[in-house]
Amino acid sequence: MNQKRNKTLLRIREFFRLLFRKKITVLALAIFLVLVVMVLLAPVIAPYGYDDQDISRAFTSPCREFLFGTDKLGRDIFSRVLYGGRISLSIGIIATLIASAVGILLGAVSGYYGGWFDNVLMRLFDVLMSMPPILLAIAISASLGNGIMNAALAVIVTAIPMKARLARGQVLTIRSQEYMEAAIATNASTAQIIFRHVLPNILPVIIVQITLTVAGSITTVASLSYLGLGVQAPFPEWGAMLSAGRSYLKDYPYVILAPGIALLLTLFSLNVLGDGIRDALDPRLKD
Amino acid sequence: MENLLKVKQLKKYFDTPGGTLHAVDDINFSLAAGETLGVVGESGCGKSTLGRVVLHLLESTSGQIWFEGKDITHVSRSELRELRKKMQIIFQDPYASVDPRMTISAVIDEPLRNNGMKSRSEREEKVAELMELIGLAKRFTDYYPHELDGGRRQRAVIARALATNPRFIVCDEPVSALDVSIQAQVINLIMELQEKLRLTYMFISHDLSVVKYVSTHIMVMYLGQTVEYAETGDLFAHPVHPYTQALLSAVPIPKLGAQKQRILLKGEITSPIDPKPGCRFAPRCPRACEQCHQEIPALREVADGHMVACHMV
Repeated sequence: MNQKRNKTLLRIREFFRLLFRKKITVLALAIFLVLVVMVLLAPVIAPYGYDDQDISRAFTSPCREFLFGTDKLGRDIFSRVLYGGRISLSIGIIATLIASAVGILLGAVSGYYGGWFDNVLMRLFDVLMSMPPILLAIAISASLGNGIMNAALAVIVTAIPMKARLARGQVLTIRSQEYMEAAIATNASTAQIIFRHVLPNILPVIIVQITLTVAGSITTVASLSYLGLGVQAPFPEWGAMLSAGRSYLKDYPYVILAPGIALLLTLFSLNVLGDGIRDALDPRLKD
Repeated sequence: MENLLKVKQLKKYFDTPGGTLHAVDDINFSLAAGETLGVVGESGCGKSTLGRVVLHLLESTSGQIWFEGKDITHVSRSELRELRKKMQIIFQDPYASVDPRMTISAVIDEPLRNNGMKSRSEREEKVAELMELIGLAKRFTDYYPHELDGGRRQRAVIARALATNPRFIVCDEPVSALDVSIQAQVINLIMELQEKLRLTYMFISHDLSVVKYVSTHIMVMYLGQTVEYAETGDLFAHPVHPYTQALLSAVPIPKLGAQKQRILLKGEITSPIDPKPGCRFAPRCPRACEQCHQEIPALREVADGHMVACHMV
């Protein structure tokens, strides 16, 4: 058993060696980790609260006191970006995890059993996927009303069909393998088959997808907030901050600079990281 | 001797968009404990399907199956669980039949876990015992399948099949995916195990020399039907059916300068989807007559224990 643990360790080490082979992946991981740490430590790092106003100092240019300047109400943009990141990142990650869990489960069951359940579910997802995701998210969010929760829900519903599709395809491939038949011949129950054979074998593909979807979810939340559907004032969220700064773009461009760059860096690092993980887990998955 | 397995008028049809595919069409045989039934035929003749129907990996369309004197054609879930401990299968491709993310010990351990052996130490002991039995060195315990060659992987597959102490094993082309040099080792292992554990085999293969070596009886299949059934020696000495004769004439003789008359079959294997009436082999048969195209020949005894389905003999 000890040897087995060593083997698992070796595999993990091999994974990281492959992951860090490309400099850009290391950079992406570093950027993402720094962002996450800063956002997590927002109450410690941020010099001001996210809604501390000082109207008299509205639109201060970036200086030592206000690192990224202040907005129209004199709130410190640096602090707001940090606190806003908490909302952006947490919605992005949590919504993705929920969507993945639901989507993978539905897709796996659908692919495993087939039949009418598979047919009904896949046609339903076809309908959902026939709409551009952002439009769908807007439609859901608008019909449910404004707010963080509804925005998150919109993101989740939009992401589920993709996940289910992916999981279903993977399960279909694995289902036809002879080792599935072997498992049935040795009296494995459906749960044992799914947890021991199906999930471990589809996991690499799923992990990559999850990484990439987090980026997508953050974008969607930011887009919804930008349109005024998601996070509401006074809560800072990167998309909402971009939206609020939009009117002052000409005179005070730095109002949108910080949230824009934060968003950009997050998406960039997540996408590069996703590509890197994909290459490290399975070189055959390239392209 | 007691019949361990008996199959009567067994049929397995598949519904396809083009019509009904007769994969297994009216097969009868019985197999005594300790014997080996070799099932031969070309690809697509239904030999693998037959094995899977017997094991309940596929549901039969009609017919009956008896195992240990009991009718097992229709069984409940719990009966099936008990049955599967006694009937196992060894697959053709040792690369596809083991989960690539499981170590060799986990592969062999799986049937033990699934069949209610709770204690971990007990299972580890049993895995070690099985690995010794099939000749896999202890150091391979924590290897992953891709780290082993085909022969060793196939040994692991055999160990998995033996884990629940079965009485009957379907060997579905167990050596055709292996290198020739490894084939002999695995065949010898399979035969040694038969003697040691008093196993009964259904040995499916398209390789006649392998089947001749391992089987006590041979059933020749063509498009889902039995064309000839006899004891191994008898079949090779006196093949009666034109198809069997053609098959046997294709077996190479390992002797320099050996002259032999090969019977070359013309045409292609006909479609098993909604087959025409008459003998399935008739379109390719050198001796076919009018009657062959009209009626399906029944399987009848031409000598003691030698059954043939042909109008012309």
